[in-house]
Amino acid sequence: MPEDNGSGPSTAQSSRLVVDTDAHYYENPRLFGKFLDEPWRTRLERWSGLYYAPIAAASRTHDVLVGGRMKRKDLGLPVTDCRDGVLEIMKYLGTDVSVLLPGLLLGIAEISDKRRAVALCHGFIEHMLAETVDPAQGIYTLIVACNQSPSDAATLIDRHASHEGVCGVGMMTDAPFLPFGDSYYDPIYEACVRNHLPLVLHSGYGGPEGHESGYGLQSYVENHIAFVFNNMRQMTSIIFQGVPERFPELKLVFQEAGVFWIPQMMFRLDSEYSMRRPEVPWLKKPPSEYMKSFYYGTQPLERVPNEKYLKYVFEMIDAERTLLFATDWPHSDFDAPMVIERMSFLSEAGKDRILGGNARSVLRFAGKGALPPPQPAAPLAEARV
Amino acid sequence: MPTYDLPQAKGLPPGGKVMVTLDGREYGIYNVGGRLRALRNVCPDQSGPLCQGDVFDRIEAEVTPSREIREYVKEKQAVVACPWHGWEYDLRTGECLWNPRYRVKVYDVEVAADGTVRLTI
Repeated sequence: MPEDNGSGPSTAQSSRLVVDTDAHYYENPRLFGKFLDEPWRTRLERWSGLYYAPIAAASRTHDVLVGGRMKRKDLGLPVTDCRDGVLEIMKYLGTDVSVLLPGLLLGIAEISDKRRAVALCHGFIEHMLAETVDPAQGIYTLIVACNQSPSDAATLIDRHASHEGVCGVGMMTDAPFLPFGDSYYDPIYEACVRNHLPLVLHSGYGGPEGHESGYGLQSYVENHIAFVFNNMRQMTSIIFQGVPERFPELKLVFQEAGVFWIPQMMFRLDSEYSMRRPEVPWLKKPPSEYMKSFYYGTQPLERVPNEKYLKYVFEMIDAERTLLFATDWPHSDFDAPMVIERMSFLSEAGKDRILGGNARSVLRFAGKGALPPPQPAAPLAEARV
Repeated sequence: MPTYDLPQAKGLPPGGKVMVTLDGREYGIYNVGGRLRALRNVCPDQSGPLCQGDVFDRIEAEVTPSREIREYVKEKQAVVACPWHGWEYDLRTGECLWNPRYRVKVYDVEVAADGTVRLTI
C-alpha cells in the first residue's frame, strides 16, 4: 500500500454500479427566491454575498484547502452548482448515481432563526427539483428537514415526497438544540414513515466559532473531529429515547463520521445499558441490536496502518449489509470508490453491496439505480409441480 | 530499463514542471534546485493525480521553551502536494511528510552536455 503501485492515475473505474450516497451541491441561495413568498423572495434574490450569508457556515473561518495544497476548480473541475457540473463530477469520480446534499445548508441546524431556516429549506428543495435533479441520469436529492420547526419540515416532506428526484429526507446532526431522540422531532419521523422515505442524518461541525460539540477546538485539524462527536450524540439520543421502537419502519442512515465510531458506540452503549436498563424503558434489546438495523456512510474511511483493522471493524458492524459508499465530494476528505475497490478482504459481492447494492435498497431511486420490480410469485398450482 | 528522451523538459528552469506520458504512464518532471527529477503522477493514498498539485515550501513547527508554537520554512520549494487531499511528498526522496511509510518513486533525470534530457525508468 505505501508505494506507488503503477495502477494509473486519477479515478477508479468499475464495471459495477456505484452509488455515491453523499455528494455535495453548492446551491446559490439567490436562486431560491423565485420559489418563495415575500419578504424571503427579495431577501434571498438580493443577497449581497458580502458580509452577510444566509447561513454562517463554519468552514468560512478556515482555509479548508490548506493554502492551495488541495485543488478543485484549479484541476479544471466544475463547482457542483448545476446539473451539468454534477454529471461531469460523476464521470470524474466514476459514480453512476449521486445523492446530492447541500453545501450551504449543511449548516442549517446551527442557525437560530426559525423563519429563515424554514424559508431556506423550502427554497432549496424547490430549486433542486425544478433545476437540478435528473433521475434518468442518476441525480437525486434529499428534502432537508429543518430541526427548528418539525411541523414545517413535515409539511415540506408531504409536499415533495412523491417527486422522483427525491430519494430521502435529510437532517444535519450538528444541531445544538434538543437531540434527535426527543419527541419534539416526531412530526419529521412520522412524515418519513408516512411517505416511505429514509432519513439521512448527516454530520457536520461548527468550527471553533460554532456552538455545538466542537466548540473551542482551535484549528481545523482539531475541530473537524466534531463530525464524530455530533453523530455519537444524536445516535445515543435516538436509541435511548426509543426512536427505533416508536418508528420501527423508519430507515436511518448516518453519514460522514467514518466507520470506527460505529463499533465503539455499539459496545459502549451496550455497557451503559447493561447497568441502567430501567432508565430507558423504550428499549427491548441492547443498543447494538438497534444499531445493526441502521445504515452508515463509509466516508471518511479511516486510513489505518494494517488492513486487518478495517476487516475487524467491518466484521463487527456487518458492513456488507450496513455500509453505503459515499464520496463527500468536493470536500477536503472525500473518498474515491477505490477505497472500497482495493479492500482485499471483501468479496466481489460484498463490494457490490457496499458500493451500490445497499444504497439501492435503502434509498428510494425511481430512475437510474432503481431496483428491478419484485418478480410476481408463481401461482400456487405451478409451484407445486 | 527503457530510456526516454524528454524534449519537453529541455531548458526547464528551476522551480519549473512539465508533465509527460511514457508508455501510457504519466510523470511530472521537476527542476528542483537545478536538478531534474521525475515523479509518477499517482498518489499512494487514493491514486490521485499527484503531479497536478503545486510545489510548496516545507513548513515545520516547533514548540518554544515558552510553549508558543513557532512555524517556519524549513526548505523552500521542497514538496509537492497532491491536489486531492493535500498529502505532501519530499521532491528529493519521495517520502510523504505525514508518514514515511507512504512514498512515491523519484527518478533522477539525466541532462547531457548538449541539454538533451533523458529519463531511465
